[in-house]
Amino acid sequence: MGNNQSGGPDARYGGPNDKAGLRRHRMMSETAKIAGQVLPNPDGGPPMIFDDGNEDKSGECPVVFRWSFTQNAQPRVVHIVGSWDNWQTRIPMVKSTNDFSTIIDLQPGQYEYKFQVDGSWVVDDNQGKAQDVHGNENNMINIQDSDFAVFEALDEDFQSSTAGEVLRGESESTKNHDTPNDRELEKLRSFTQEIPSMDMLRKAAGPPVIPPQLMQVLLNKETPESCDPNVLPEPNHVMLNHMYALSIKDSVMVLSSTQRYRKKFVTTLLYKPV
Amino acid sequence: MPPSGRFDRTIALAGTGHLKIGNFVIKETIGKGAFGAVKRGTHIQTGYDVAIKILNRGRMKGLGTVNKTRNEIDNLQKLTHPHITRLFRVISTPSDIFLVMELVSGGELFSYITRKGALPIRESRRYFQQIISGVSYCHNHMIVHRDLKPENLLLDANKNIKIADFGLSNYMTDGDLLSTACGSPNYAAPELISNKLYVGPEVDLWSCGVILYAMLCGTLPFDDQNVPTLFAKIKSGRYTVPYSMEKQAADLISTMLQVDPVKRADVKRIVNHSWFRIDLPYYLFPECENESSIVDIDVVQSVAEKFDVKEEDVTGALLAEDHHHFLCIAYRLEVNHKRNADESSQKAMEDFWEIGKTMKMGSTSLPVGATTKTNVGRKILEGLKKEQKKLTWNLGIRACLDPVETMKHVFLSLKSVDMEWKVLSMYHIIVRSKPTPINPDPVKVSLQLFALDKKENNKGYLLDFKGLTEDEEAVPPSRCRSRAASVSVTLAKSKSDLNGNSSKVPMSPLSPMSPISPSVNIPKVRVDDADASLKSSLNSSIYMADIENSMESLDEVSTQSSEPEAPIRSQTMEFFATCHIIMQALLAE
Repeated sequence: MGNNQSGGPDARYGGPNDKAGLRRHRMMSETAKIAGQVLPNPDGGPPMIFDDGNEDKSGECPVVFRWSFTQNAQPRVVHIVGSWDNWQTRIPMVKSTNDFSTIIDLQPGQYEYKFQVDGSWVVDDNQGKAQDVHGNENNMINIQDSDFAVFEALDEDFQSSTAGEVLRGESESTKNHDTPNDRELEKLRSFTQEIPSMDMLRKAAGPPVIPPQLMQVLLNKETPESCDPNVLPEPNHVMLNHMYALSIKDSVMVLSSTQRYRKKFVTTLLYKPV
Repeated sequence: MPPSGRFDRTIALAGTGHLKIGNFVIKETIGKGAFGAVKRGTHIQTGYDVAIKILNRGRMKGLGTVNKTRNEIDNLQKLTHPHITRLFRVISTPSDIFLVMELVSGGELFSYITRKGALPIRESRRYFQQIISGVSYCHNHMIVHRDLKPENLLLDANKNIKIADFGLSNYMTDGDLLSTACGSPNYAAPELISNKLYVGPEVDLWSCGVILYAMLCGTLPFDDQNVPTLFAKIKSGRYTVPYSMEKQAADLISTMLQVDPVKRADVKRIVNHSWFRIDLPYYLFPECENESSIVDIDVVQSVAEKFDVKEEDVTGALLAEDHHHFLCIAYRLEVNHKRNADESSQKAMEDFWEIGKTMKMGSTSLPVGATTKTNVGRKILEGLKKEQKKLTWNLGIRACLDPVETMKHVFLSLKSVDMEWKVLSMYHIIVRSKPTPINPDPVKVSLQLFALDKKENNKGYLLDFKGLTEDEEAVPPSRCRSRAASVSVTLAKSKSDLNGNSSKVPMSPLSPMSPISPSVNIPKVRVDDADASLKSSLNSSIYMADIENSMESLDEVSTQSSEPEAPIRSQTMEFFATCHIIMQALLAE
């Protein structure tokens, strides 16, 4: 049997995992391609063209440098000098609400830098520091490749955040937006044949209530007369991959399941003698 | 280029108080978020303005919103729709993430309603149509927003809607439910505030109903200072309809604010509502493919060959929807023939071909026998229809006893057939057969115990079986194809049909009560402890042989030759085999 799906996605995307991360990178570049084309705007506004062709010169990526200050100690002018050009250029920083900042394109690696605040050379104690061969103290930053790939960066941040610890079972669950779901949990657990104790079973909260949508069985619905009898109604995505069963008849057990196949759905029936 | 030239642009921009990142100039602050500023930006090459959202990585880690940002970026990048804010570029740095987004200059719909009060009907409807179009687009891409409210609906310079803030959005996967309770209280669906599992699109459409009410009335349908009281109002689904509200609009709102998610209006119902269709621009909902236009090409060829006509003639008759046309009747009978190969149907088909030949020869008068035989075909169709109505499909299997006892029985049964499992929670486990050299990557089945909704007078629980499919991209094309194939087995009619359902095996009074009371009525299989391992291995080999038979059937159907080194696997058939093993184990004494 075949099911028709109107306006469905061309491809199905799985949950977060390494492969999904790779796929998301491709999605990002594909989105960039879309953004690089002329997008028709039915509102009649100007077409939006953002060409990324000039980017990615010699593998340099932007790095943000900040000099923070408090309201009662605002410097007038701040510059930054660094080892990225052998300490040649004094770059003026731009003032914002709470800090002076600048953005410099750098390749991954280790760099030392220093701030000149109102004419005085200073090192920021809140940022990484190092001593050079002459015994002078400078700020230091170590830039990784992964800092410039957004999903890798976020994955690293997630691992070292509270939610990441919850996912590994290292700490008690705290309710925040990053609470892991079952698909993420599954990747971190191992197969076992150890039966949980009765105490654990009794302490657990009761089973969740089943949503009514799952009880709307596809094969129980009537198809309109004008349709091809092989065509079933379009299923809700939540019905997919579940097993449905028919009452025993003629000593035969019948199972069914519906899966997505590109833009359509396929329902498979298995007739099995008991 | 001299070394000093490398930073000329940066230095020049600093003189104007601006920064540069990628091909964008970062200018003044236009907004403040919880995780950083939103700045105006300009694309250097084209001069167009954008919004640049700066998210500090350290602050996100501290607040536990890394995945929220990941969701927003991941989902928003997939969406290209005139009424959804566009995410053009994502730039990652060691300390911050920069989101280059569409600049929407008109402010929030929320502040617009706050200033103006109730909006005119035409304006409200236009906004609502754009909102539903954008939300429908998200759902078609398997993304659920979950935080729809006027604060997240922006107005651009031309007073068109832009849906924004996908930070609470989530990706919907096949067969999976969502459980995170999120969103703003006044706009949240009843099942969300009740902490129930939900599918996804239905909670967005509830929020849209609240938004439509807010636009038309200038107030909220469910509102109270006291949160528990507010929640009680939402769960009751009762709200005041102002006397001045247009009746058709009130009707549409009532279909959307249904507490029961099954009865709540879906996108199709909203789009087909008469009030919604007034002044509806075509671009918002291009016509969808008609399901009834699906035609079985093989059957068309078969009918054309038998009647010695062109395939276009058969297709034309089908498209004309003339159900009494002899080619249509032949087509439908042939289609049913593929589904039901029993002898009586075959006989009817043979008789019908004779009728067809008579008609083709141009005979002006049909013999009485021909008329009778035509009625036979209709009776078969009607009989098939009645036959289908008698059968009822059920999800998983029912469990009558206490959930703790049920799960204990499940674990013991799984162990008895040498299955292994992962425990996600006490009532949700992932099960598979042990990997072997022959079957190193067995299919995984999710077992979840659900409580049935007490409102429907259903007592007890339900054990759900769900296949965990591999990511489609990881599956080679041949396996994708085989997954789609279906296997049909000729079913010989049994004399027991006259006796109705099989009688149940009486329960021995000394044996323990089985916690599983199946809706699938399977006679009990007694397995002695001494022979348990032998019989389970026999069962495994039997099912493996069955899968091999299925593979042979697939090979016959498929025109593509399979490589002997990588046999075509049908995940569906393996899923069925695993379910069958588990069910047999559960129902064994």
